[in-house]
Amino acid sequence: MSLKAEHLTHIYQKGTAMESCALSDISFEIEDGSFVGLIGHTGSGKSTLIQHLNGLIRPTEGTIYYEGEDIFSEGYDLRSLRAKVGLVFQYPEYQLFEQDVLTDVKFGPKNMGASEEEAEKRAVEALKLVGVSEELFKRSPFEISGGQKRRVAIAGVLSMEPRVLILDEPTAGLDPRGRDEILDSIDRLHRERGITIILVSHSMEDVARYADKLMVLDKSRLKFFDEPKKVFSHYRELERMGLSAPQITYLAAGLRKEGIMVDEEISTVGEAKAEILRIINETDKA
Amino acid sequence: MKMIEASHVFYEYVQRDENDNIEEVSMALKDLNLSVDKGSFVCILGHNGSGKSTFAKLLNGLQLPKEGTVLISGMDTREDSSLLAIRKSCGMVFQNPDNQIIANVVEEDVAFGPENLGLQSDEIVRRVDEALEKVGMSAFRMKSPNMLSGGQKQRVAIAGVVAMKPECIVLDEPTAMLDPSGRRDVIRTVRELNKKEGITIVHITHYMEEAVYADRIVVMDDGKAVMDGTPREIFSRVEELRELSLSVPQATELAHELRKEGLPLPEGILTMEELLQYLVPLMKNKGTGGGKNA
Repeated sequence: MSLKAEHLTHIYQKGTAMESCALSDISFEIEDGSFVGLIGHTGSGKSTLIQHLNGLIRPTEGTIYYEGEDIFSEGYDLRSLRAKVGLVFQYPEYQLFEQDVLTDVKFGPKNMGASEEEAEKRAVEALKLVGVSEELFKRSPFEISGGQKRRVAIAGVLSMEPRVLILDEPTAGLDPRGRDEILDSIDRLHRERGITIILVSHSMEDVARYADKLMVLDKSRLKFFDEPKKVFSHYRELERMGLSAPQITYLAAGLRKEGIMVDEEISTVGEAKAEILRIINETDKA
Repeated sequence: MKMIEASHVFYEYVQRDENDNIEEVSMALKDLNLSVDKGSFVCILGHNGSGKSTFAKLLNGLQLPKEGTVLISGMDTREDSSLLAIRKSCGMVFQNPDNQIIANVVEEDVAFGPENLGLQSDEIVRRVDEALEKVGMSAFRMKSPNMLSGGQKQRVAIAGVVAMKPECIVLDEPTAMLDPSGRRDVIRTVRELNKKEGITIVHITHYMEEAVYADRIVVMDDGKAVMDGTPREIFSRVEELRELSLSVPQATELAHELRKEGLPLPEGILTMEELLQYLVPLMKNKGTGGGKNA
């Protein structure tokens, strides 16, 4: 029941010649503890949507509920909502500003009124969760590597102890190992802490691997909200929307075209390996 | 002749405190030797901080080597008098399209470079036409860049470089911020510029799938070129690449995993199409050719 949108519509510069509709009549409910992948072409409305979810922008029409309460109702405490629904923007490392890593991560909780000790405790925990080692705590956030900076920035949001964590392309520009490390630590937060994750991504392979539900936006509309496997089975339609399916999906389709009936819902390298070996071993016995 | 010839190149970033005293010196390039043939398509891979972007910025004199030389078509980037010729011959495209587009109309943006060269207006028009045509963006010439998708903006940025009639284009992670179709379009455009126009391409990327199309891959680590070969040669070295924080295309990874399980697949499979060709006979020739789903 955690996050719910009803008939959400957002129009930028309404009533002017520049009027453009970014979100149109979107309704969904994201359950507590789920891992949602949000995909869509550039300009499909992803960024606009996530900024609604922690009340940074107001819908033109429609309602957003967090734990059953309308977040734009009179007297609703948006400030505490923003601590509970944390948003990590694209290239969050540009938002680092303090003189050392630990102080930067402490900023959020202190700003929310936590004591020095409490803020430090939370910051240390958040940094550990994302795998930033203690030697870096006193370093300037500007002299550590790109992947480390990104993690410090995510820790800055985690130190607010959010229940929902929204990340806008957290791996853009990182090398393959950096990408895996960030995604693995997000996955750990989800599994070990039960934090609800909303991951905006342009990598179909990544969302196939981690998400348990996919939300697909196309030209401001919500086209799919379903299990990744179900969504990727519509890969022709996804291609028309400027997206694609994971590469493994195409391999499965190619094999099936040749009459080799692999499970058409496989989408990761691990699943493909298991399925191919299963078929080869099965026909061996025959 | 070589398009790019970097020999014994060193480059360092110096950090100073408020009093201008040197705090820290980090070596971004350490005795880098790398040359690129005219007309070739080279992909540069390497983890964050391996020196790729520093190298890119040396190629049109945005940065100068501390030691060693960088020659572009034989011209030394340290010669002030060559700088304009170097920048005309070697254009750059960066990661974020929004930082590279300056005009309010697509054609004006593409015309910016040629205008700065002081060309006649009919020549400028001709170049803009050609450049937009080559990147497949002619239909958008009168549009406002902020109405375009990321991939379209990036192709406009490429057109801006193409309008300078360069011999070489250096692209530093041009697809990092794009959606799948934007990525496909940019890669297709770059490959066409290489094949049809003979423009030398140096493409820096973190997407292993994109490197498959290059003639040659150079892997950088710690400011040096540590691996150099065809995509097939490089992606056969799966474990080494992992040690360098890199990976291989998913088709290569799956083939590698299946090989470990004893399937007779060659190393260095690059695409799903190739893998499919090897898998079909292996899976079909065995008995009934179908599991329980058949």
